[in-house]
Amino acid sequence: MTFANTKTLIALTILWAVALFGIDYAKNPRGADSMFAPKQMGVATTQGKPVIKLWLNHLCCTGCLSDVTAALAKVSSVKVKTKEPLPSTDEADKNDMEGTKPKDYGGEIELEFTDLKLVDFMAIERALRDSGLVADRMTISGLQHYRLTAELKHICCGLCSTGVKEGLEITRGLKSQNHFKWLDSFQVSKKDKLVIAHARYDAVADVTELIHGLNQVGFEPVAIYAVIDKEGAAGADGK
Amino acid sequence: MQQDILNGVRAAWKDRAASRFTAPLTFVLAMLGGGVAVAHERFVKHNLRFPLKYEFFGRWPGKPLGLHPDHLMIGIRVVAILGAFFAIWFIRRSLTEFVERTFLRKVGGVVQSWGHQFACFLTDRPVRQKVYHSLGEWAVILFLRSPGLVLMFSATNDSLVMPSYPLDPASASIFKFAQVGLAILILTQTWLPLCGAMIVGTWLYLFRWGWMVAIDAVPVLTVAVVYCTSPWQSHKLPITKINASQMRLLRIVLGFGFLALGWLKVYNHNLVAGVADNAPSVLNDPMVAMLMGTNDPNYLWRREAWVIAFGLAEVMSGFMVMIGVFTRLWATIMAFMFTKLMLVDFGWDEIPHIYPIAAMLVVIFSNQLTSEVDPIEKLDLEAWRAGKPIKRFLIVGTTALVGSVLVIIPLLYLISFIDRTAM
Repeated sequence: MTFANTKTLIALTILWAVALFGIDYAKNPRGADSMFAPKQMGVATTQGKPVIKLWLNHLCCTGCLSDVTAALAKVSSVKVKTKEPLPSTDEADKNDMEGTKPKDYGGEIELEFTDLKLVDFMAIERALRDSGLVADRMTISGLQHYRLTAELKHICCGLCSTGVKEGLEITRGLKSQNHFKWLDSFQVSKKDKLVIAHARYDAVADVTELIHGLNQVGFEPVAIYAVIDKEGAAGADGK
Repeated sequence: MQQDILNGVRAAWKDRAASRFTAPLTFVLAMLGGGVAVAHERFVKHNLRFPLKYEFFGRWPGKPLGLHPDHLMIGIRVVAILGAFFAIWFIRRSLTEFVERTFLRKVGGVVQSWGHQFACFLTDRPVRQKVYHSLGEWAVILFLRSPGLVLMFSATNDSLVMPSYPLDPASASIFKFAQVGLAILILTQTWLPLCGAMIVGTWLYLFRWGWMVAIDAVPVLTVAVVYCTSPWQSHKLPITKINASQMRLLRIVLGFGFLALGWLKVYNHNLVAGVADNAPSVLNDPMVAMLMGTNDPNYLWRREAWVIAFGLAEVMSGFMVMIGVFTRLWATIMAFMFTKLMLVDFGWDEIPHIYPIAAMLVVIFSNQLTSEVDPIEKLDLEAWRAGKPIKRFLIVGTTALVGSVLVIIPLLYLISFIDRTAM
């Protein structure tokens, strides 16, 4: 029977700790200040400001982008901000004809906004659908404590409320399929006709998952807003 | 009028916060963590529903020790309980002998036998019962394997070690696979010393989230102690016993972990009060209510006093387990509290607490318990045998009084200088 001596144990411990720090750094390179910042996730890249991004499975050229921009122009609280230049419509046509480049139809856009409280994600969703396009993901990041509040038009009785709650609880079981990984918990307020989805600390929430989840249980939200929770501020009652 | 007084107190507190007491302490804390305003996500919700009355935790000029009288009273109650337990610990042999001779011997039979075993249980002496022994073996198996389950649970929740520590999406996959790998080693009991080193290494990595997170995770190191002292061929052995030296290390690390956690609760009051705001049933704990001195829902400082009492209850039980004074009794109280929190107050969210419960069970069912105050007890026994009751009284009284005061009052006093309103 052999036992590990102290030197071996210390060496293994240091080796493992260094490996963990190394992997962390390799996957997310940043300075020591940022790495050891207590509130590390999301903050380093967004400086604590909320960021809203849309991923569209189809955003292949400037033509698509101008349609998206025009559609979102109807939503007064947001403005489209592109990160990477897209090929023009002519270039896209040419690429299609030549067939030399691998096809990459999707694209991401970031939305500018002045006040997060005024950003209605359902308005964005509807504007895009009206223009014939749809966002596959609608993410919000850069916040520590926050929740998404979905306003419902229809909750007429206790059964409606329980139905929403139970239906959404089933969706929590979809975490293993990479859905709702950002979700901490749900609350349903029958009185205020609200579904409140508490995001996990520093998580990147996908609002489309919430919309699809609600649709799946038979409800269409009227509006969805992100509400920032602060330690010591108003509680998690959705108000 | 009352608001003016409170504002005055707050201003005085802030002035004093810049005093010579605070500066070095704040400096040390800042050096340790690079920032004190951390509030990592707990696996139970902890958002404050409305602000605390922060003046309760700060300086009250003109009051004894400059603390709010109720704040100080909670400290004194804890000191009194600690002192009483210390004193009873030293005279436990005389007490049990008296009870067994006076009462149990007269009754005899099964009652005498069970009474004797119960006395052994309470005073940390070996309990010679087959069932007790079997439960102890089972607790060791559960304790050694439960970290594997917790790691698997965390991996499926995109977290590291506990759901409290969410993983960065960029590196999440690697960390999750690493956790699953470690969990497999643990569940198959393979290369336990390596598992121990990996757990300690992972704990060091937790400093990345700040010093408070690392302190929060100190109890995780308890099992690493046993792993590190196990043989490399652990997979070939049915490990169902923990020897006396392993148990001593386990007890010290476990107790220290909860002692540190208790002080962290006193320090980081928002986090604890936030948990209570989201699960108000925890406010009705009888032990904490006893330390608070009241359970009146209309009591002005109810949430604030509860935070201090809850934190100090953990300090008290952690300290007793750490030094080995009524270890089984305190471990039983803690196991009961954790089980209650898991099953009654928080439910599924608290499921990783299977691990600390398993650790408590190992301590409760161990027949290898020792105490760190054995040298003092030896002096006491010598005085008893020599028939020197005054010397005995001085040894027991001084240890009980000085020990219990030193554990609670200095830190309670020092922490009150730190302005934690912005946390």
